[in-house]
Amino acid sequence: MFKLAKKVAVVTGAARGIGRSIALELARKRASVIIVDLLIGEAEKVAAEIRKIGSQSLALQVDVTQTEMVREKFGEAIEKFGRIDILVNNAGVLQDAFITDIKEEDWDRVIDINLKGVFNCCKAVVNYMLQQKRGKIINIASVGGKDGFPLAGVHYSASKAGVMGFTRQLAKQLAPYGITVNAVAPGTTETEMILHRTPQQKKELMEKIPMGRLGKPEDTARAIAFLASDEASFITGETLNVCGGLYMD
Amino acid sequence: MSLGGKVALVTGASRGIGRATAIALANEGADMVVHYHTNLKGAEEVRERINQLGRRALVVQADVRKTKGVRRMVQDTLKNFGHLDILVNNAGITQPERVFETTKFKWDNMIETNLTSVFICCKAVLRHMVERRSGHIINITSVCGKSGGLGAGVHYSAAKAGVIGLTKALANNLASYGIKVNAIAPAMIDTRMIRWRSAELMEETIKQIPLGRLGKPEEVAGVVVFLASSANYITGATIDINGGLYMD
Repeated sequence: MFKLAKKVAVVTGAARGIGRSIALELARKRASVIIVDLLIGEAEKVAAEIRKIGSQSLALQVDVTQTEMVREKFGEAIEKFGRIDILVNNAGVLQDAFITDIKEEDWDRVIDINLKGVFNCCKAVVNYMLQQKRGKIINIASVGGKDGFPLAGVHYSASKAGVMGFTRQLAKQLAPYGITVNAVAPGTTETEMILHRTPQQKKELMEKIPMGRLGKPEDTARAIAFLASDEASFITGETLNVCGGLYMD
Repeated sequence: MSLGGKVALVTGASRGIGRATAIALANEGADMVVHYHTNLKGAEEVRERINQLGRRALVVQADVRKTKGVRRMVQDTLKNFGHLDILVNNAGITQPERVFETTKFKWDNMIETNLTSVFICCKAVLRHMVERRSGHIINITSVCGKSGGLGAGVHYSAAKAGVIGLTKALANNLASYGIKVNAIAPAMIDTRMIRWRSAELMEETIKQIPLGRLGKPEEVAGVVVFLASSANYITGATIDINGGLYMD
């Protein structure tokens, strides 16, 4: 079940962390995966790993905040692979800060990458998906966008709440064309994004999680692979919490 | 074969979503307990299908409103298979009507059948799953438990909303024992349960579904398989599967 043979997927921010895990999981399900990231060296490494598993892969250096660059580069890649079935908008940044420490440029940067990036990437693939009359878009939101994380900045939570609103609206608009749009809301996941956190901070976080551990990138990756499968075709506009019970709605 | 070596019990498995779920779990390698209330023929047909897939199936009758029968069902399961990994609380009834027709008697019966039964079944498997420090409990609720729409009775919506609350609290209670508890909230799945509608009303209702079609019971079964096989960090969640009809 949940196989992705002959599907072509684009995963943004896939050089590291959750994105990399998603790319590998989709590849294991036999999808061809286009790795999009600013960190081209690491992206190439992931592409190489995918080829070793036996799936096709291509690494692309793209800044998701640049609308034209996204359109161009995605277009090139999609033409090369002949189609695009799955878009995973994972690229994102976190800044832990109290509101008074957030400068205007910090706000703009986080909103640009986390929210405008989702807009840019969706814009770049929708016409192809409309022609195909099929497609799956999955956005990485966050429990922080629903419940707020004590450490994260308000710009982070706002951007993630924005991703969820965007997801629902786009789901409604693309549903008549057979395209589903969903989101996954991870809790706190053990990746490079939280390297700056202290052991004490992590301990305090874990105490609040019913399952007693932080998330692993694979936890989110598996949920994405499920939503990307044909079996999940009646699910749209949904945000799936993958957070060990940290938040339940 | 993501569920090789696992044993799953699905209530209300003689037809509809329960039937599709039992077959899907078996297809992924699980041995099955096929529970039914009155539809013996349907349950036996499901058992045959499961056997054809190369898996074992035990057909068990029980009234899920009664503790004794449910306990016996779980005992039979453990006697036959030695262990139980997955419980899918799917058995349920519907009674679409406006509140003016809903009597206390109907209310009580609905709550017993659709909500209390879930509690009874969870309690019956609790000790075993806690001892093993592992297990998946998946409760079938409904979009009506959130949205109160689709012509559902107030008692139906209340029971289904209750299932969501029960799911979350149970998830909290059992997380430290390695047991995951989640719910699935379908809407407009093509089974006997939605066919009370006239052709006209059905057409009107389908027009409201963004994806423009009914869901298939196999698609709900897919969510169950996902939760039971690949969702070790998800608990207390309610997964909507409704073609975009309701989003939260």
